[in-house]
Amino acid sequence: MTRKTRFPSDIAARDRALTLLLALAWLGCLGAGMANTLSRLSVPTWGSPLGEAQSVEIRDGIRVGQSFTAPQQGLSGIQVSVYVQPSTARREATLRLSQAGLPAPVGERTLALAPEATVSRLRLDVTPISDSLGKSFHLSIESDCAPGEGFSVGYSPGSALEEAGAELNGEPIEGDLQFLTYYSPSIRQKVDMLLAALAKGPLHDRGLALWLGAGALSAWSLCLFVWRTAHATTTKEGEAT
Amino acid sequence: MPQRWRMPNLTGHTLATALLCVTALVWLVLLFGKWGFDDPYVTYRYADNILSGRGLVYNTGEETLSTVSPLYALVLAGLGLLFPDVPTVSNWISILSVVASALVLMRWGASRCTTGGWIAGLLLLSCPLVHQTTGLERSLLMLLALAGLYAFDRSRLAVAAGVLSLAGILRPEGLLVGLVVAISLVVRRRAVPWRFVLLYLAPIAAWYGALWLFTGSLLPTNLAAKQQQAQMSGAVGYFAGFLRLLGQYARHPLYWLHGVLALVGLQQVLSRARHWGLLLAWTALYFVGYSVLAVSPYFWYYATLAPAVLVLVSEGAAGVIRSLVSSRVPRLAATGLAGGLVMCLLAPPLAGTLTTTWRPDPRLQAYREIGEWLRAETPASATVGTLEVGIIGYYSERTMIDFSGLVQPAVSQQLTAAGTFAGSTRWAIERFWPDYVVLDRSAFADLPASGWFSAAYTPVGHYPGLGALWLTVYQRSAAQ
Repeated sequence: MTRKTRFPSDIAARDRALTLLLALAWLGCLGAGMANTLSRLSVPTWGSPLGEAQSVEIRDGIRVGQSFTAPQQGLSGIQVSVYVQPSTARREATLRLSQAGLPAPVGERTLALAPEATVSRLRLDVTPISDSLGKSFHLSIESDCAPGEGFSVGYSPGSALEEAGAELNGEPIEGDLQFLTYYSPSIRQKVDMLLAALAKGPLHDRGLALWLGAGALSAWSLCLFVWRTAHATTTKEGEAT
Repeated sequence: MPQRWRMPNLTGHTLATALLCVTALVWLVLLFGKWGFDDPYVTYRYADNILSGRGLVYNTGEETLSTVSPLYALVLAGLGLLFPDVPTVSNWISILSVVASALVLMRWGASRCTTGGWIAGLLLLSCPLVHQTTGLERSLLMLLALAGLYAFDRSRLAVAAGVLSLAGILRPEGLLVGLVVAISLVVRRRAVPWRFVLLYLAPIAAWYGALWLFTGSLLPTNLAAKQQQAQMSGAVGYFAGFLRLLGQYARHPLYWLHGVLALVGLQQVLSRARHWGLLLAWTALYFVGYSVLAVSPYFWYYATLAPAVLVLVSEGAAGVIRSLVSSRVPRLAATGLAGGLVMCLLAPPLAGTLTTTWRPDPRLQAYREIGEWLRAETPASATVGTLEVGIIGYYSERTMIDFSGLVQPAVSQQLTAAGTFAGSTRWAIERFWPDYVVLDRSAFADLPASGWFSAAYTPVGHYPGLGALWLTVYQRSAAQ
């Protein structure tokens, strides 16, 4: 039986193809692992959670609101700080989040308030709004509590968030409520955020080509290093075993 | 006849390592070149005062040692003669130290014919916990400790003595590395290398002797302050903080792989890769020491654990790969799987490092603005009180009153089990009556509303910092 002769050029081509295949598989592993990690990492919240210690009482006939423009994709919740006075009466607060231009609210929740005096945070979670970036939203807080039995929401008259503002009975007032918005963007959107954050760095005005070049060089050097390490581990140390 | 220049005999792996390190260096500079948080700025202010001729002091005229690393302040001051931007210089030192530490790990592993060091070096380059400490002297300590231990492992005792001596001078916990080496010499029953001992001890004795003469203390005031902080109501100590940190990592399933491999790696180190034993011993001693000291669980205290943990993970990975090869898996498939395993190990820390840029410390910008405002608008003799004195103190160049006790030891005595930062703040204000007070509303909502404070102080500026904090600057009225 005769063995087919393999020319050196064929072997080199096969090695090149295998190496490329391995490199792609490794980068796939790395990408999948990073995507898994990114999916679990929360993105920063946004809002005006702190401020001067003032509050607005909410009771029957008084409605408080907060408008804002979402700074990120994937708006998934909003939280306000409230100060509850002690009372034995049954009290509820209703939070309603609406998006400008949509007829129905994107989320609504009615919460029972504790009978004792507390400082608590009321949170309304909604299905993540994938295209929330730059869209206008409005949060309203209502209650049917009797006067003196209501609750107060934290309010910062000196707050000056851009494209945001508090409202009392539909009329704009100076400052913002003490609120925080939460975001659950998709992995793709998180990658976009990551690139946007990187682009703010020292290379921000050098263009995409430089970033792509740096990324490709990094991937290549990483694969080269991993190849050498994996190869050494499976040969030298393998033989030693 | 002149000799012809010859290409150095670089192996493929050396080239790959060099390329990787250069790439990592570029990325780390891009990501962390302008990184910052409050704590390192205390040391920067010492460096700045040395440069300005005010000496090794935080507040002019007060010889209180509030930095753990006066040597680092001297180094920054020296470099500051060439590069006046001290924070950036310090970040560069940290970044270069991390890359050099990774190289030492790789070299150390290679010298012992294991690839665990290469994998550990790669993981160290991507470790977010280490990179978040950029600006502190901890990365430099890590480099000195690793380099010293490697030199000792290679029986280069003179080099080891010099480098470990520097580690002991840089930070007190660097002395633990020398202790580990001494114990190792005793356990191995070697003859005492007196030259090594002298080379190691002489600079340390000279340094700490001079420190004692100059400041009257060997330990910085902030050690006691951070111990007191951990005793406060609701606070936890170093060990509990470590468990909390483990819990955070456990929420990411890919980090479980690190945990399992670390256990395999421990078995590997005990059985065949014993050269890492000194590193593990130092890390264990450091961990026990900090747990006993029960200091507050600041994140940078845990970064020092990283090299040993990563070595365990890497030796575990190398052990698994060896098992694959010995189980007759075709070599190419084994190589592919080995690379895949390394990439899976690399993915979570790499993603963590990249996403660190999502969360720059909002205090950096707000504190800097306040510091610059104070420097421009207040007299040079003005005193400023605040809870975190680092960044504000550095940029304001004013006498600082520290409500957390890092600068004035008497304040830290107020941080008892029943005490709060609000309480220590009130105590410090009533004791020192600073000309200006900077308060964060999240921590001090009640103080500005209290009658005594509003009678004495008037708000002169608000600094909302990205919604995460709300800082107000108050000025003391002339009547007080």
